Amino acid sequence: MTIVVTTIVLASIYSLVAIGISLTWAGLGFLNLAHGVIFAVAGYGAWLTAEHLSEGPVAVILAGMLVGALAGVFVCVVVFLPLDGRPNAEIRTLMGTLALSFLGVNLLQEIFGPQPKALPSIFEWGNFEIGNAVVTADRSGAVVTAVAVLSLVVFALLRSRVGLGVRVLTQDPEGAALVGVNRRTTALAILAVSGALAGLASVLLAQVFYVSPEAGYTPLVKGLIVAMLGGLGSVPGTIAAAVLVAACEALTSTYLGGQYVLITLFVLIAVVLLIRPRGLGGLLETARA
Amino acid sequence: MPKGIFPEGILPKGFGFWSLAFLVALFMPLVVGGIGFISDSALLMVYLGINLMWILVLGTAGIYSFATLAIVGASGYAAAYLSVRHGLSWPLMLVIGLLVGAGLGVLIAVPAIRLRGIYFALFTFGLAELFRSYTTVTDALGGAPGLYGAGTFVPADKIGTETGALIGYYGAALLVVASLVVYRLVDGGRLGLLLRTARESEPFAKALGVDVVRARLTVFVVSSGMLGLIGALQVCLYRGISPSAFRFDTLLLLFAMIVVGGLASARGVVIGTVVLFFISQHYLDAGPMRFVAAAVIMLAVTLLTTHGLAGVPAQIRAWRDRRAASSATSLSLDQPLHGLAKERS
Repeated sequence: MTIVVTTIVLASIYSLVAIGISLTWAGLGFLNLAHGVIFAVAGYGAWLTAEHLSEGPVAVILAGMLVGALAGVFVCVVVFLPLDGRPNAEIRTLMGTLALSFLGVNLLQEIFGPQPKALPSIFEWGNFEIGNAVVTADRSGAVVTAVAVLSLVVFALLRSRVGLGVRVLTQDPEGAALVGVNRRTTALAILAVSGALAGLASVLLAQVFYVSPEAGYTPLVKGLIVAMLGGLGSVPGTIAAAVLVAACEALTSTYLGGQYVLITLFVLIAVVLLIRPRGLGGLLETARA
Repeated sequence: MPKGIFPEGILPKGFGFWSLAFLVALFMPLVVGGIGFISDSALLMVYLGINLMWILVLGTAGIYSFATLAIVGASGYAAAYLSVRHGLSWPLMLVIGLLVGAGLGVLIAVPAIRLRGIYFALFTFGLAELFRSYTTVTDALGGAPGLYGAGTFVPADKIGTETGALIGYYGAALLVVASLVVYRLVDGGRLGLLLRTARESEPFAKALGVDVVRARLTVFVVSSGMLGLIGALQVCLYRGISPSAFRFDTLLLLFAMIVVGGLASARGVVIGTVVLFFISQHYLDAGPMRFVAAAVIMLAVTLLTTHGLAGVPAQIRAWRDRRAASSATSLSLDQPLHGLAKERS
């Protein structure tokens, strides 16, 4: 039962990070390696809010999401908009976000120092038990918040005008231009939403771990793995992949030990990608190579 | 408008750049001296060798492979293991490195036939992490501290002295020359042509009768073999290896070097590697801010240049040509005063 609970918690946080990466790649054709830094910056934003403004749970979560969204917009304005449509754009945007990521991590080190910061606990409704597993407040809170926000995003993707634009872009960039989807404003929207999701994940994860300049590194790698395993651009695929990866991690660390997680994870990736070379969702079979 | 310092056709293209580079590589460690500087230069040579082999796959063949460090490290581990545990001598270590590298190249190339672009990148990204965690938990491979006490080509009585460091450096430099030759042979030869054709359009290459799978397999085996050799040489230089050989930051740094210099040219690799190596090492007296400086340079290069630093002359030339073309048609940019003055009067 503990395994199931751990799987669900990890899966909800991975989904939050991975959907941003996935949508950015599928919609805009660029891999955002600064996603990890957005994660860290949002964590610091939430920490500053908790220190100086208010320790209320809503304020901290909203601050994290807002700062994340702003950081996403910043990445978009600095790297994506100037390079979109220029020669060699694919590798240059990759490089640019990598540079921003270096820059961000080191600036955070300079400003806040390497010591990790702790966020106040947000969820205080106490622990409860399912079967033989103890579910702490931060875990249940993380799942509830993540599922709620994710449903909201999926709803927006399916129903709103901008969401429609995003879905058109992931399927056919030229077709999108023909039917009047503005690539640049949609790009801003995509990165703002991805940033906000990363910010939320950051606040939720900071309930267990701390906020530190390098905090975004592991989520970035896990997010990339989940996003690609899920098939870039496919929301259901991403969620399925998040569950798969989380289950793999939970099972490995329970039965084999934490140091083997990466090994089993890699075997899982290899198997899935060899069976389905475009990931679980397999949406982009023809749209993007 | 002459394109280089020398008139075209008299000397081979790039003669000035390469002779200067070779002279600097030959005499710089002698002139500056000091064990620290010489061993840093040796590391720079190792990076250069790795990057040269990497762009064969990344640039010429256009396959997003990040398995580079995994191959270097794994071959290094094989050589170090046989040397430490079974007393293998250094020439055999180099041979083992070459063979293990080539073998791994085949294994990694097989999924490359099925996986495309970014998915292959993910697959190979994971390899380094896989090896890192495997070597950390395996006691036979020394666990987290690594394997030490491997054989080396530096004579026993010179180890730890400046002469010893110099011998190590020239050994590494020799390998860079070998890598340059391999790069030139593959990239400038028939194989390079086939690979570039396949990179631009696979269906077209197939229609021409190019055996794409075989060409890609060959380039993988050749570059991986060389990478394995470099891995074994690195073990000789440091007399051992540890799981930090697979560090993710090193991989990203190497990638940054390649892209800053300009993908797909040996000259770009040399420029990018030297520039970023200089910034990332401790020569600049700027403390942690030097990473910020490195990041700003990377950002500036990516935003301003289309093909890295090595592509700057071509970019300027193209811009100048465009300007000349537009002024020729509109008479407005190069001689605005004459044209306008006459019309006004």
